[in-house]
Amino acid sequence: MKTKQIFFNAATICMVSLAVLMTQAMFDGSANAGPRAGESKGGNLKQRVVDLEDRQDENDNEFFLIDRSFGDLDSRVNANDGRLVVHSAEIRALEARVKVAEKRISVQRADHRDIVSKVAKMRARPCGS
Amino acid sequence: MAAFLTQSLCRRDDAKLLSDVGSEIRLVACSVTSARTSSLRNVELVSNIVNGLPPDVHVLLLVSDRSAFAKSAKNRRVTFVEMPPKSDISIWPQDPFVVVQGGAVTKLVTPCSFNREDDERMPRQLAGLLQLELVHSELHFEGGNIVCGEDAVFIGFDTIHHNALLLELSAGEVTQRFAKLFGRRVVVVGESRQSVRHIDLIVTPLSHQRIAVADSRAGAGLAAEAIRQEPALVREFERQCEKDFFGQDGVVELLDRDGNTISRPTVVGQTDATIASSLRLAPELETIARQLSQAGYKVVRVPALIPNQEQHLDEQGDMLPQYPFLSYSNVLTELRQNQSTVYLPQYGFGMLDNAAQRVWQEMGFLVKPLAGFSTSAMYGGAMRCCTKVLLRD
Repeated sequence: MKTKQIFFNAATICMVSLAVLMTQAMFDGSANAGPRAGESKGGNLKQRVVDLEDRQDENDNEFFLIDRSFGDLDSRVNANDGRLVVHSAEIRALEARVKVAEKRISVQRADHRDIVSKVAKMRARPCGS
Repeated sequence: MAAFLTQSLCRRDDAKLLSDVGSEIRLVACSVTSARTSSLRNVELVSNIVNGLPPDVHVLLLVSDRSAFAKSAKNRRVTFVEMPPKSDISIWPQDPFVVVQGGAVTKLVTPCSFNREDDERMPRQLAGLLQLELVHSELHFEGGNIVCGEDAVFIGFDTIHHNALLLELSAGEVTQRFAKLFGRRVVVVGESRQSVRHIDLIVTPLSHQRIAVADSRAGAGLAAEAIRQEPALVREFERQCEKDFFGQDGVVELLDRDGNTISRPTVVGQTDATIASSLRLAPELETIARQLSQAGYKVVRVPALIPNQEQHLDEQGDMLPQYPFLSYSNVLTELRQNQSTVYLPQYGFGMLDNAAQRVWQEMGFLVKPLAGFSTSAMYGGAMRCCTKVLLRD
């Protein structure tokens, strides 16, 4: 009787294991996908393409795609032009600053020359005079 | 029962990288950019691609600026896939992911990281729409540096080298990991650092153990012949490239979103320099052809005119626009109604366009030429770069 029960239990375990393996095998690839009921993720791509086409009932032979933003190229060119104007103004301002700096440098050079000549004169003056 | 169980349990291992060779193309993804958001507008090109592909090919159009576009009317085979707001995408959906299929299960596999604009969002949007599983890989790759034949996947040397450095693995170990991820044998293309960044510009797997490799020596010869025989047409091609770059002849400079200036590249008068670049690159392509021949493939050469690949990179290492890369290897192929068919980019350089058509015809292909690739080629991409195959019948 005991042997019979052990055999029965073993057979039950085998059947359950087999069922688990078969279930795993049948749903391979969908374990962590979380698809909607009845849809195995990754499967039957052909059917999905058919579904996509069915949603669009009309069918033109020729396909034309138009870029309505093409006119925006002009605004981008204008933006470029605007940038050019800003840059030109910046360059003009920079040129003015350079001129001021050059003027300051020439004044400082003149001062420097003046000091040098004064120092030279002081050195040339006899001591005690 | 045991056989069913084994087969079912091993299904995960049967997943393989979608081949570039094979049955009819059923679903592709392209991306389209508008004039107000991008300097590389491609509406005309996308229209050419949609109309050039067979009517039963469904096209998913990734778009970041939907309101900018109007289409002719309802068209069953085109579906817009809107990117999240303020996404900035390129026109190259080939690169940020690859497609792996096992039985009826399709997965999109993304690289460890992908740093070009917001292109890493492309696979997420597609996976969301199509309810596909998205697998994030530990490996670094770009789809353009991977092409897949019937029996093996071809990966450019740089991708293997890059992963070996980053993951601190040997080249052999990296190759094994790619083989496991893609479910196919891996052939590494090239023996040293690549001059051409993506092998799909120079290598095309074909059926029956054949493979096409770009021949820049032949391309240079054809271009030189064109200059001798029809110099006015060559000059016209150069002028047209410049004219089409921004879409308006008078526009020579624009600002990008970050305020950086994008200048129209000089193409006029540059064919001679490009011939010289092509000749310099020829030995590297000959090495690849020899390597693949030694690996047991029957190698066919397809002409290409390749501009300088070294001096035109920005700070991120991306290609700056220049003289167009005239690749006739960056194609889509399929077996349609028992006829091998190639969708071949055309650039408007008659001598080369026609020669490439003849070469593909001689290989037994029905040639479907697709016009208007000169501008995308100035950024270094063509048909395959612009069109990601997601499903074949």
